[in-house]
Amino acid sequence: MLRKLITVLAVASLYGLSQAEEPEWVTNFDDALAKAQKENKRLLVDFYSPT
Amino acid sequence: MGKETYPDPRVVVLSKEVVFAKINGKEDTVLAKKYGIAGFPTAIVASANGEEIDRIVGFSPPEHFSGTVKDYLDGKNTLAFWEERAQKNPEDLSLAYLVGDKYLWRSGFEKAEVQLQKVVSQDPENKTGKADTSAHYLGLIAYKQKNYTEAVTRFSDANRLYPKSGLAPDNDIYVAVSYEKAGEKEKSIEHYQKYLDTYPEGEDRDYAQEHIEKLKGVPQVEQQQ
Repeated sequence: MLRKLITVLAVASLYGLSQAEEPEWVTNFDDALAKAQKENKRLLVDFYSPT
Repeated sequence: MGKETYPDPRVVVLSKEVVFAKINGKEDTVLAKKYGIAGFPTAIVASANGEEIDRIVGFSPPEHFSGTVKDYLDGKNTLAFWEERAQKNPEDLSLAYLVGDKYLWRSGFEKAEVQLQKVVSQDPENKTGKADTSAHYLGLIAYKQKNYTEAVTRFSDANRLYPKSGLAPDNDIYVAVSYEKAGEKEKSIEHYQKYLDTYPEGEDRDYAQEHIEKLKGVPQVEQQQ
């Protein structure tokens, strides 16, 4: 029982870590606007330079 | 920023409240211009219809980044937040500085200039501790607008008014760079040399030396890999 619990916690922890790797990025501004309106969220737009 | 800040759990968790969008500012120049992006990286926090709430310019470590975004989402420390307080307290120069600073980084140069000029003109002794930075920013405003002759005047004024400021080396190097951008080669060399003489250990010494050699036409030696 204890081993099963540890396994479940380990899997949950790994899942949590994988979830924490990166935010889900939208790379088209209009799509991001539509998503924000649909999900009733605000926007965080990262303007970057590839160089 | 991408490698350290965005993967941090304290930042990822903001996904509950915001949609993350990543835009190549060099490619989507229309959008970058619309938001007055003056450097990279710049993170804009905006409403669902794209209206800017506020921004974070330059690298920001995860804890600072997540805290600042949360503040912006709560309506704290934003341009609107400080502007409202500055209007109610027009004599408060620290508030004027905060508003000027906000406008500067969103390329609202005219409004920035009004606030920063107010700080400089009313605080000649730098009692707020913000007047020297305000004077430096006035130079930066001219520089960012490519008015290099005016930039020379303003950066020089900043050092004349606040000679003990920690920004004095920055003002001096900007004088040299502004002369160079204005095409005044001899004055540029003179001021790069002045920088080297005044701040032999200054952080821009290599830059100053390289530009003196470049302006004098000394062939550049490529560094070996």
